[in-house]
This record gives sequence, structure tokens and C-alpha cells, in this order.
Amino acid sequence: MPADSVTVLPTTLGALLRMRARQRPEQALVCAADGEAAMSYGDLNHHASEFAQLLKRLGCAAGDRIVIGFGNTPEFFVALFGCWRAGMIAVPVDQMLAGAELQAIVMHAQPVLVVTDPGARAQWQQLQLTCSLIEAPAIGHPPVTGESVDWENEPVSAQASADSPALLLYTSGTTGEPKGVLYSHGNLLAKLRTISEWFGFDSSYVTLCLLPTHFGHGLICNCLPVLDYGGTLILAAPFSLDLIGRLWPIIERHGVNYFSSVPTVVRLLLQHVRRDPVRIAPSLKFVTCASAPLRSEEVEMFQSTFGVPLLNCYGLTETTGWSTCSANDPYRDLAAVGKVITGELRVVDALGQPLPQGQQGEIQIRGRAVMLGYFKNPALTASVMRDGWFATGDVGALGADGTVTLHSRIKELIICAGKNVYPTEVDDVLMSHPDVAEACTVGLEDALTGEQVAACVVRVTGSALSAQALIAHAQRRLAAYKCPKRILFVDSIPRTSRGKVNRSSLCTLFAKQAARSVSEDSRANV
Amino acid sequence: MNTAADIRSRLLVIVSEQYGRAEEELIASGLVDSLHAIALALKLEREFDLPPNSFLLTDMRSITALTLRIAAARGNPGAS
Repeated sequence: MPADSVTVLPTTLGALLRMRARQRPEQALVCAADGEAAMSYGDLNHHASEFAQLLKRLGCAAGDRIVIGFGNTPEFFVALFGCWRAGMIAVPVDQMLAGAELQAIVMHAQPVLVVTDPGARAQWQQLQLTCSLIEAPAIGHPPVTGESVDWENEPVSAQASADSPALLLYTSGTTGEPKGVLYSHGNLLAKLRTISEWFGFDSSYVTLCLLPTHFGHGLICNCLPVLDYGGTLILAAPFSLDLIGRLWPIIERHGVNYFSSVPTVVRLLLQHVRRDPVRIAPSLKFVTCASAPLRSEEVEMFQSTFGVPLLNCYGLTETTGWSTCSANDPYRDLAAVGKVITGELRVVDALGQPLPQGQQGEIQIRGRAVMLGYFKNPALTASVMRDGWFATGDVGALGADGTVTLHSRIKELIICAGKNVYPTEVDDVLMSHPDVAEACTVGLEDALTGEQVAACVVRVTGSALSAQALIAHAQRRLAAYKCPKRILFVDSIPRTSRGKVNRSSLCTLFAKQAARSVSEDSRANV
Repeated sequence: MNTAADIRSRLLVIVSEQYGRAEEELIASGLVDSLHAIALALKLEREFDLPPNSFLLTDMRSITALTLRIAAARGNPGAS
């Protein structure tokens, strides 16, 4: 076989972009949902190289962390691939986090630079940064440096290798040790490839992203696979009231074939269509949904309403996004989350022994797409690894055909509209109020967001602290989605006979309170 | 129910029913986030008999902003 016909697979994301840019320089890669002009593969390759040059000029070195404090714009991808082109670790961060959370993440990640855009700059300027803050160069502006570094031809190994860390995503961060999940180029490339293969994506696909790009689901599962299959990405602002009425026209205008969602988006689209019947663009082939449980009735309702398959997927930030995906098959089990797509999956009992098919136990995953580890926290990493298997903390079962169904969670985690909220993080913030003696945060069932954050609180003796004042205290320290929506003041937190907080009793207390409120309201209305 | 006062008092009842309490600042108080804003907008469109897509996210920031938006949509833009 002649040497030039051998396909050399890229070992880094920067190399993947370079390969695609050589193959299809003029093809549209990223286009803002409301924009007309798209950034081509060649454009992104060029802009990323320029940005990499700028980073080098600013003194950034391979392995340094670069916080990307904005998202959902084409410039985000310039900053992201600029970091990767220069061998740095990109740290995309939710600009909507509270100042204290951003500060804690910055302290932990110790970036050499924070990159922002005009819309997010003010939020970052309020922090005590020990590194520089710059704005990402707007696309279309003249090059930021006059230097010529031949990035196009520089050997890939000089920038990074498959095992080099590439991406750091924070899943919590206010108190204690922030939890940053670190991935290598190899982790990410393995995931992009398997997602592309599983769904049969090819370069003709137009994919829409309406999820935040700092979010593993949005970035790793929705956006980045586009580069693997050589398609086109339409980038919208994260799903909101301002998007919902324009969503279907955007899909039609751009000829979108696919987008991903979370259950709350599915529920809201179903509510909205009842008010405003829409014309479903014939280009749309299917939609995926992940990040929180979705009921089979909701899948059925979506499919019958919009006429396209809704494919349930499952994964964690630590497994580089989706580990299982549903097949695009009308006879699939709608209550399941599909089959494993990357690495191996097993279900084990409390002693870590693999269970037979059909039996419920903890889901464990291993393989190329499992994270490198928690950044600067080997103890925490060790606590979730079992002989090379990542212990998910999710309870599920494996069917005879390899289909996975989820049942519950072992770990204490609240999933609110697809976003993870760690109860202890909220507890710590509530406990930092001088009038709080004890606090315990729980997830209550919510028809829209799956779960909502609520807290039982014991006030210090004599305190008249109100729920509103305590919520306001939390809002100054936590992102909005982590703040309790309900506070219940109690005399003591119920505990089990072993002294552990009895969280199910807490949920019962909230249910009783809600029943009391309804009954009082009915009496008042008589 | 066309006066601003009528709209406002009905809004307070709806928000209280939905979220357990009502505050003037809906988003800044954390009572309504960007996703709940969609559900609330859909409910208000039904309650006030407004056409689909009557609200933008900025309308959801406070009871006053919502009152003005609903009054305007119902043909009483000066109601304040």
C-alpha cells in the first residue's frame, strides 16, 4: 500500500482539527444560530493557530491551565482549539456561577490566564485573579500577533500527545476541595469517535447545540463530535424563553439534522407545542436526551408529537460523557438508556462482585474514555476507582442484549434540569450563616426539572432567620440552580439509629409541609 | 381584569401557587430560573389568554415587568 494512502489517525484534538481543515478547508464548521456567515474548518484552524501564538507570546506553556470564561459563541471554539494547538489545558467555566464559586475554581485550577468575552468580562473582573484576564479576539479582526510560527506544519508530538491532559471540567467548587475532572486528548478522541460511529454521523450532518458549552454533555457529546465526523455545528445560546419560540424556525433555516437535550428541555418543548403548534422541519432526523432520568412515557409523547426518535443516553462527567446510548431503532426499550458505546460496563453488588444479567447493582465503567482523574486530588480519584473500574454511584441493571436500565443513585447527588448539585456543597453554604446550627439539603421531586433543591435547617436558639434571608445568603455564594427553592425550619435533623442523616425522612417532612399548606389554603378559600 | 392592579394581584396569586411564595424580583430572588421562566410564561399565556411567545426572558425579571408586559399585550399599555 502506498504510504500516502495510509490514514494516520490524529492523536490530539489540535491534530484532528488540522486534518479536517486540510480535507475540507471551505466547509462550514461553526455557525451562530442567528448568524449568516459560518466559520469554516480552514478558518477555525487558522484562528486557533493565531490564538495559540498569542498564548505563547503571553508566556503560557504546555500543560498550563487556561480558563475559558464564556461560551456558546464561535470564539469559544477558537479559544478552545487555540489552547489545544499550543498544548495547554482548557478549563471552560460557567460564567453564571456565583463569584465565590468562580474564585474557588480559579484558586484550584491556578490558571495562567483567563479568557473572556465582552459579555462575561465584568463577572471575571470582580474576582481576585492572580493571572491575566484577556478578551478572546473577535473573529474577523486582524491577527493579534505579527509573529509567524508554522503551526500548520509543526510536528504534532511537539504540542501534545494522546495522553496529555487537554480539558478540565469542574463539577462542584464552592467549599472544600473543588472537583475538577481532567481528560486527556485520548479520552476525548475515543468518545468523539464512538459517538460518531454509534449514531452513524457523517460529514453531511448539521448539528444544533442548545446546551451550554462549558457542560460536558453540551461540549463533549453534542459539539465536539462534529469535528470527528466533519459536519457542521449550529450554535445557539443555551435553551431559554428567548430561544423556545425560535427553535423550530432555526432548525428549518439551517437544515438541522440533530440536536441533544436534557429532560427539562423535552418537557418544555412538549408544553410549548401545545400552545404554539409548530412545523417540524423535515431535515430533523433524531434528538438525543441525557444528563437526567427521562420516563418512557415522555419519550413516547415526544416522538408522537414531533415525529422524530428521542434517544436516551447515559454517562457521567467522569466517563467523558455518554457511556451508553440508545440505538435509533423503533423497537428499542424506551425505558432503557441503551447499550455501552465506549469501553466496558458491569453491574456489581455491595462487595464489588459482578452480578448476573437482570440484577440491580452499582454500575461500573472502564476503558479509554474514563477520566484521567480528579485534578490535584488523587485521594478522591482513588475513592471512585475499583481495580481500574470507575464506580458511578448509579444503580442499574444489564439486560440480556446488553441494554442498560437505571434505577436509583447510591451517591448523594441532586440532578436539577440535568445539572449536578452536591448536597454537601449547599449544606456548607447554609451552615456558613451565623444563625444556622445545622442544615441538610435534599432533592425533592419536580415535574419540570426532575428534582429541586430544598433544605431542612435548624436555627440557632432565639434566631428569627427567615427562609428568604437564608436563600438570599445562598444566592450570594452559589449558582442559581444550586440554591434551595424551599427551606423548612425544624427543631432537629432526623437521623438513623446509626446517627446518619435520614434523608428520606426529610423528604417526608417536606411532603407533610406541602400537604399542610394545601389544607390551610383550602380552609382559607372556604 | 385589565387594570395593572388587577393583573398584578392575579400574578401574585399565580406565582405563589407555582413557587410557594411571591417576590417582586423573580429572577434575582432565585424564585424563577431560566427554565422555570419558560414554564411560567406558558402558564401566564394561558391564564391571561395571550398569544404564544408573548414573553421574553427580560419580561420575567419582576412582577412589575410582567404586569406591564401583560397590560400591553392586552391593549392597555399605559397601565402602570
